[in-house]
Amino acid sequence: MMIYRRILVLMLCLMLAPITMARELRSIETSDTTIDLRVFTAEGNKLLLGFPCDEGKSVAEEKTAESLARDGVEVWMPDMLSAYMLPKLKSSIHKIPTEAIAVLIEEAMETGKQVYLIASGPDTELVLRGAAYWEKQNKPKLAGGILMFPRLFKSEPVPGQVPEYIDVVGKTRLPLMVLEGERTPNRWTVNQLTLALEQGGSTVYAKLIPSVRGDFFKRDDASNPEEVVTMQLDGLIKASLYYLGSTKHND
Amino acid sequence: MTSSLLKNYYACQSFVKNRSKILMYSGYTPFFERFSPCLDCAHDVFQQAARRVFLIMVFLAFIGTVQAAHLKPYDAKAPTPALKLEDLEGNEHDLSKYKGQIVLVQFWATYCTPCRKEMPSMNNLIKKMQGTPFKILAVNMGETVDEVSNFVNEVKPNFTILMDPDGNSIADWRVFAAPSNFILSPDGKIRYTLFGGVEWDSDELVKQLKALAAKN
Repeated sequence: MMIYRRILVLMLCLMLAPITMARELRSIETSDTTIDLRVFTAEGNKLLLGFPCDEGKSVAEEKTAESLARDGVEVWMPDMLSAYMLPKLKSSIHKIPTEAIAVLIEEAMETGKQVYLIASGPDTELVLRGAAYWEKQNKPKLAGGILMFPRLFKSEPVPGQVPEYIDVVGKTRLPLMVLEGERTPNRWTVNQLTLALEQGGSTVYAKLIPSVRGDFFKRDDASNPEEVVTMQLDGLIKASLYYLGSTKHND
Repeated sequence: MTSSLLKNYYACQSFVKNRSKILMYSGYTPFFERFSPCLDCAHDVFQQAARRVFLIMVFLAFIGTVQAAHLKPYDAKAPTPALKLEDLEGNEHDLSKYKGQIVLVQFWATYCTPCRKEMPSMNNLIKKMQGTPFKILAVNMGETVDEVSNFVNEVKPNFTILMDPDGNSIADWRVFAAPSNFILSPDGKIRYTLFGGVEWDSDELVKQLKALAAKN
């Protein structure tokens, strides 16, 4: 019996080995807190600074990050909520200071790589805030931002009325890629959001992902197409990086 | 170390009444020493906290349901957008032909969980509105006939499902989320809107809809 248990433990260790090898934990000090981040190091010249906002639950994001790192894209995943002891609520995103995002961008830029920002859902606010703030500093430019199924309405939409976006929409010139699920009512707002984002001077690309709902890679009830797209998330992101990387900044 | 833990443990006992089982905590774990007086008491405190959180959540859910059931008066000056779409059998329905009735125009999708949940209550609403001229037009948001037919076979709505494969009416009606509902009075004007899933057969909603019919 003991021998089976040992074999099982050994097998688990071997299975976990590549994960622990790929992932590195790092801390970055800001003026008011310490931000822990998972770093998936890579040799390439692209760095993806993502805002999953919570450590531990972003399983699909971690797998995607590992895969991207294997393909030469370095990924940083800071745990913003824990750094500011905030609960996992939509309203918590507004409480994350923009200066803290700027500190992370600064650290990422110091690697000398092209830095891209990425977030999903309401967390996409952090990408826009970070980019707008960074542009005001007149420092080297960020390469682009990926907004996955962005949820940027100021309040709950009222039927028959054009909803307002949060103030930071349309405040950056950063080239942006909007990815939206086809099976979500938000697909009908992609044009409107694109126009609003372009107001700041951004070149905005928008792609609908067929047969998936919003937040599809976080769902427990994922459909077959959603599981397939989750496995191909790294490819989607790499394609987005390609588009953004070949886009000229509007000055 | 042990004495300080025991001291904390007994101090904790005074807060927890009717305790029949006492577990001794013998190991030294800085984490527990720092954050909780003892393992067993921490468990009780956690249970109490969890119970309170659960009760608060139930209360909030109840409040949320009650608030969601309110129709929002619609004060737009713009005329009611046109709506002319085919149902699953290919029959054309023109909203203007339903003047003289209270009409609930709903924009929905099969992937929208609240839409799915509330449809049985919409069937009940039709029963409760018997005797009052009332029509439900449920506009599907851009899905295929196959997707919607499968859903209809499963959920069995007793009202008209309209297909909008290109999403043109979604733009005309300024719909940005699902389910989005519009209540039209018999003169064809939008009187109320409602976003989100509700129990359509609730007494409050039935009363409001019947009152709207009586006004006209």
